[in-house]
Amino acid sequence: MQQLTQICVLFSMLFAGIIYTRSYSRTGTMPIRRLPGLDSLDEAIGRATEMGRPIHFTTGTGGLVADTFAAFAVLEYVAKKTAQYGCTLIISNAQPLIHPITENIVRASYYAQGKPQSFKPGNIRYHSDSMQAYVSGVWGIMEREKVAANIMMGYFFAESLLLSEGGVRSGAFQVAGTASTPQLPFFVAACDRTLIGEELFAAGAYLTEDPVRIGALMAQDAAKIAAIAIILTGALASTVGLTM
Amino acid sequence: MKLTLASFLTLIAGVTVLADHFVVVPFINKTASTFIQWSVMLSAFSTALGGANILAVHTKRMSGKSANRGLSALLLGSMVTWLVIGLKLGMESQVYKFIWDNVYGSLSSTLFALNAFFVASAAYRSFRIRGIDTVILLVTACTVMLGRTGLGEAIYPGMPQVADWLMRVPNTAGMRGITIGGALGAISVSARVILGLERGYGGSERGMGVSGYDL
Repeated sequence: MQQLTQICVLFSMLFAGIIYTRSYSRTGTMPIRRLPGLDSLDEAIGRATEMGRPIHFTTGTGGLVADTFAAFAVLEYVAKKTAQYGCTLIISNAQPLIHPITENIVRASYYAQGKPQSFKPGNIRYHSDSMQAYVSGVWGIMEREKVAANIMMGYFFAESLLLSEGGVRSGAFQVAGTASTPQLPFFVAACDRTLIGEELFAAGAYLTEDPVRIGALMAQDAAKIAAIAIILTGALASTVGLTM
Repeated sequence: MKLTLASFLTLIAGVTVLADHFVVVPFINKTASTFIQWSVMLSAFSTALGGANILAVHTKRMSGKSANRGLSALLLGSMVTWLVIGLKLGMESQVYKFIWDNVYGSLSSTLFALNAFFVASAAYRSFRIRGIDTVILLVTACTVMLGRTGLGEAIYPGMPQVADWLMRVPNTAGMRGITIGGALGAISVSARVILGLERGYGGSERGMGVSGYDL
């Protein structure tokens, strides 16, 4: 019975989110607060274009998790911009499952910008699912190809500091984003801009203004307000000695 | 059609595996288990694709006039040697184990050990005082560091308690806030993927943008 209740609550939440999303798609607009981390993507692309040097993008070793799906929205934006400005985009993959997906996203983005001839499959590189080998590969790219900007979005493990310090040494402008709380301090310390936690999940809505993504962001905010209300009620009840 | 079919398959697989966590229905549990096995097989197949990518990139570099073709040759040589030893002698053989322990293991440890120095250099850059934020960061970090050592207690006996409070109250509150926000974001993205509303990963059959929008 408890399991049934859980699944009913979960699906009700999903359903409510979808209704919210759909209703938003048909009606109003919603302003999203400024996210300096995402605004700096244009700065990174502009810098790389002016310097005539490549941009490096990676999703970390996290595999196909929600953070990585959120990172795909950023990749799509970056790929379209680089196609538009004729800037080289190099992608490093640590997970073999992610490799064909990133290739697909970049290819579609270059086609969308009418630059299929600029798409180079050789710039989307699989290194290894071993963290150390992957980090070595990325360092090599940063040093040899003199990347002007390093964008790290997704789920990261201990490679976060290794990658970002590699970027610092090669003089790259760095933007990172992850919801992995143990790795966030490293990114904050080593990168120029960092997307913290939920900011990464808002990236798709912020960059594209896609109604479906903005609607989902609204549902996310509603759930957050509900969570805060529950926490405050619980804290208050506990303070006055009320227990269930 | 391609996207519709992909979305439909994602929905079926996603809902089945999700339901597997909540209900005990033999059909659902067995199907979810099968889907998970298929994902492992897909992952193994994609590893071969990854290997093909490495071969393609570095073979091309070796055949060109790149200054780094020596490195590509070294990488391909190591990869093929390692593969042949593994296939011919097996992963339990002495040669395989020797290379693993003395080459891969040593290199991995060396690279990982660099983290200690990188923590110091990243902390140094972060702690340079540029504004009120960095002052708070510097004071907090120094308090926690001193509180975790005997020196902190020698300077001020209550230092360990202050460090503990900083870790237990403000740090935990901040981390939990980030975790709750991140978890809600993850649920939102996962729900969109399962319900076929997030297609950024699937490409477009029209070739007109992966999500149907343009810049």
